[in-house]
Amino acid sequence: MGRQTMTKGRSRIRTVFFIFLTLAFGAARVSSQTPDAASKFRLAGALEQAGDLEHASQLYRDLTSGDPLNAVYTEALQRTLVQLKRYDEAIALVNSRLERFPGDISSMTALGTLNFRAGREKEAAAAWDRVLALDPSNPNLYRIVASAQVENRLLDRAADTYRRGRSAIGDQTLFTLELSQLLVATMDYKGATLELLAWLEQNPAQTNFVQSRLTSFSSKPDGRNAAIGVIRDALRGKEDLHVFGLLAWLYMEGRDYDRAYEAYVEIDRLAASHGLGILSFADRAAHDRVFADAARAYREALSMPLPEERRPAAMLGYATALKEMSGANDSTGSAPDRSTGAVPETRSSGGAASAFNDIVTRYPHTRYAAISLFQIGVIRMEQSDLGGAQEAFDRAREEPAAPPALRYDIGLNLGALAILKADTAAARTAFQAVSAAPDASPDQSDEANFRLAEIEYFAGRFENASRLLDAMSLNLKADIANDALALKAFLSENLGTPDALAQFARADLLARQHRNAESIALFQQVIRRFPQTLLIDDALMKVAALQAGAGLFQDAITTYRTLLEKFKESSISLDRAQFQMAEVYEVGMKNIPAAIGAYQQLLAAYPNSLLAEQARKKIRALRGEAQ
Amino acid sequence: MTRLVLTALMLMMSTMAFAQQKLLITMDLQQTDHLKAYGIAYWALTKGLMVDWLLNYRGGSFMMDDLGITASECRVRGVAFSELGAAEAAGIYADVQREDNNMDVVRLEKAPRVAVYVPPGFQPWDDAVTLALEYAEIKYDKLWDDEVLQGKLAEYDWLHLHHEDFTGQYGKFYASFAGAAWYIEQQATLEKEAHKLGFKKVSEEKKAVARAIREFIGNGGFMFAMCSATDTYDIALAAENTDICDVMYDGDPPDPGAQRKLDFTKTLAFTNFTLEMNPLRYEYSDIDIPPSDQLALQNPETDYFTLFEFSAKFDPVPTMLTQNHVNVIKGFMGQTTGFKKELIKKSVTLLAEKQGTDQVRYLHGNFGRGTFTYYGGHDPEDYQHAVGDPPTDLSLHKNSPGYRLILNNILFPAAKKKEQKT
Repeated sequence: MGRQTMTKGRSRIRTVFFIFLTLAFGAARVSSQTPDAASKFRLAGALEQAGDLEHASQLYRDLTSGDPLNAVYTEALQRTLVQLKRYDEAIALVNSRLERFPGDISSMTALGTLNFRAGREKEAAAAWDRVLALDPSNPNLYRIVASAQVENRLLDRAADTYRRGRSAIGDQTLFTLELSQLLVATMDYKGATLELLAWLEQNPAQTNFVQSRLTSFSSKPDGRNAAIGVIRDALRGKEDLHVFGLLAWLYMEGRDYDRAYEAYVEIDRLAASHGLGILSFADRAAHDRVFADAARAYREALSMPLPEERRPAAMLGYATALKEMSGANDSTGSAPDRSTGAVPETRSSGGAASAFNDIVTRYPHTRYAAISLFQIGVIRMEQSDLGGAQEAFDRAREEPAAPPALRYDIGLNLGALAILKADTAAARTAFQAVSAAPDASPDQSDEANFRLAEIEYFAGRFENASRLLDAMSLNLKADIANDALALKAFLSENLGTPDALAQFARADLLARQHRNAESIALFQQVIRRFPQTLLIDDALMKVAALQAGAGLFQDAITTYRTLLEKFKESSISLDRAQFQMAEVYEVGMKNIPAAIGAYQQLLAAYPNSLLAEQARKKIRALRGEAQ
Repeated sequence: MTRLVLTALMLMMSTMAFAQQKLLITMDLQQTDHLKAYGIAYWALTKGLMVDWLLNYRGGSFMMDDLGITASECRVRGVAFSELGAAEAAGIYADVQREDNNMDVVRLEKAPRVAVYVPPGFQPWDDAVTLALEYAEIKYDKLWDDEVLQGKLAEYDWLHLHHEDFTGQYGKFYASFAGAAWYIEQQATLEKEAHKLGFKKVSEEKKAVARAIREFIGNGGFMFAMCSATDTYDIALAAENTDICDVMYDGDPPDPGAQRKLDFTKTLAFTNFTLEMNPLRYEYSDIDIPPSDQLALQNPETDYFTLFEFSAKFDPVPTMLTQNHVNVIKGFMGQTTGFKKELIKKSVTLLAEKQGTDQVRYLHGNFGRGTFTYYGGHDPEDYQHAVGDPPTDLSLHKNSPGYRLILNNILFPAAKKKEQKT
């Protein structure tokens, strides 16, 4: 391992400091007696500091023999004997001191340590017991002994000492923090949580402190589960707002949103916060993109007497969560996952639209209404309800409270809607308005310019389209830049065959308008009429994609094969065709062996393709290999 | 007539040997993914195929039968290869085996059973070997102290040790991390494990583990150690009869005569080293060079080490261990980065050094019927891998020469033993 900041050794500093103190104070004491003893003591200290423990201990022993009551000498001798691991001699020394001072707690405790280090565990335990027996009702004695045990890495025994203290003193609230810390160190998370809960009971205002202590192990699943178990048990006997708060926090830490939600419901009930607690959970879940739980919580919060000023945001959160759920559901067509969950009655975009409508009805002429109308328009457009979309966008645009950024998004969507309705003039007007707006965001401006270029392309005005694309394609930071570059390259490649390009563009427009059958027919006409043009492989790719989109999987495969076989010398789309064919096998036809074969063919035939890595991942996933 | 029949027979035999189409995985700069190439060689061995390691031929290439699935697997894993006809393959073999070429063929026969010594629980750092094994898709089992002491090592051919501390000083992280949750938990876990196994101290348990590993090597095992597992392993062996741990590590002070009591006859690679007895200094002994607390003085731009060249035909083992597509390799730091040359036993083979210094980065030796390899540094593609750093993404280092050295070690036990020419 690298970086390590080194400081002068703490224990070394402590030792040197101790020797210094001993020399300073001890020498003062000694010098008052004999000059010879003082210099001997200084010499011993110097030897000890230099690591010559053998000679140092000899000198300390001489000094102790001459002055057996001098605590400084005996402590120095004991220290060097311990460092020399001559525990029996150290024990004898401590015992002789105890004979003179039988109640010396420090010596009795040290006797326990020395016996333990000498491997005599029974004697060590007996020595520590004797310390406790001095005054079984004195908490400090338990602390002293436990501390010595911790120093000897006897963590379990130290915990037992504290527990004994509690029993002997008859106060179960003693040593809670000491014990919790020890139990965390020994990974007894259940015990640690019990202690922390006991602390919370004694100090109800210290929820944050307890939470910070729990943080030391709540990130680990076993630690978190242990804490949750203890807290749930505690709540069975008694409902406590603070403890519910800890439980909710732990569930959120573990991303267990279902249970966190239940805990927040209880918190809300106990605190009589009228849904605000549930609302904060809903916001957090929505932020974490757990929309099913967010929707459920928003709905619950809205069913409660929330403060009026918080209701519109809650309703918008609810409607947005529903829309996200339906979007995920519609786009994948797969079984509900954690992000969409299972709230059956709300898993449709109809539910989301209805929720947005409620906002429009209850809070007209507010920014919430404007946003909701815009979202309704988007939903309607996705549902191909062009009239409904138009109405919603028009109303959103007329809302005085609509924020400026939303107005430009409405404009872009109105343009897209006009293209779907084959009203290119209206589309152009909508996009031009956004393009000319000085306060539209760069992304909004770029999108507007790109859509304007597309309109020119669809209409066969290729030079205009190229000019517009030139203006924006340099801004590579824009999301739409890739699309713009692709269209620009396509145009410049095919400008030499304007008739073919014009027919291709018309077919492309039909595809955009979801008129798939007409689009396929027109693309096929391009293929038949202009077999020598460069755009022939693009036409085949478009046809195949439209066929796959329409569920005509076998037709799509045939089209891809035509491209792969007939244009293998000329097309630059072969790897993409191969990849998409494999995807049709995989996703459309669910023919896994054929899909694997097709992906493998891509690797064999086009090893340098940009899609090779993706194909490798697909093969492994289809083979059921973990990646 | 007899001569004619014999000639025909020999011709038939040689034709049979090479009739099969061959698949050549070159390991020079043409290779797209060197690390996964080792995985393919290992995979082939698990499928019962023989793999020929063409030492020093185009970076240490692999040749095997082309069975269709082999090529397909190479494609799936992104490993570049060529399919060769029998004659072309025979030409390469002949070229490699020519007396005047420093090349040779080593046949790999059996996928080694790989074990990695991994502590339980979370470690705030990563193990380069585990990363390499995962990336190359080489199967391995995890072992820890109880398995080692139960004799489970006998079930494996190859054992890896990484950032371990066999001295029982918990990596000597006390000065910087004594209050960190992971450190406290690590110490408690190791203490529990030691007590469970009947040892009073972790340091005593680690010494027993070190001895068990030495026995594994002595019985023919292959041990590969990196970073602090190298020097701490030898220190633990040398300190068998003394206590080198200070009070915060094992609850009592170290033996003041620890240095004197070191027994260097018990170590594998190092001798006459001096212990670092300051418990708060992030260093174990003077074996490591540069010392761990002077790493900031290193300049990654100028830190390179050089692989020694060996005779493929006369020294196949060190040649295998140093196969690479470059011979100057980017340096990388670790708690143990390099080894002081003067403290390495004479019987040990030096495989790589930092030129112009007394720093050895990679070494190999024999013990009993087995071998050991020590590789200094922590992560070949992360110059200073610090505690808490994210793991290195090897898909961004597919051609890492530093990681190749690790993987050479994994295939090396698969080699068929052959008579030495000297």
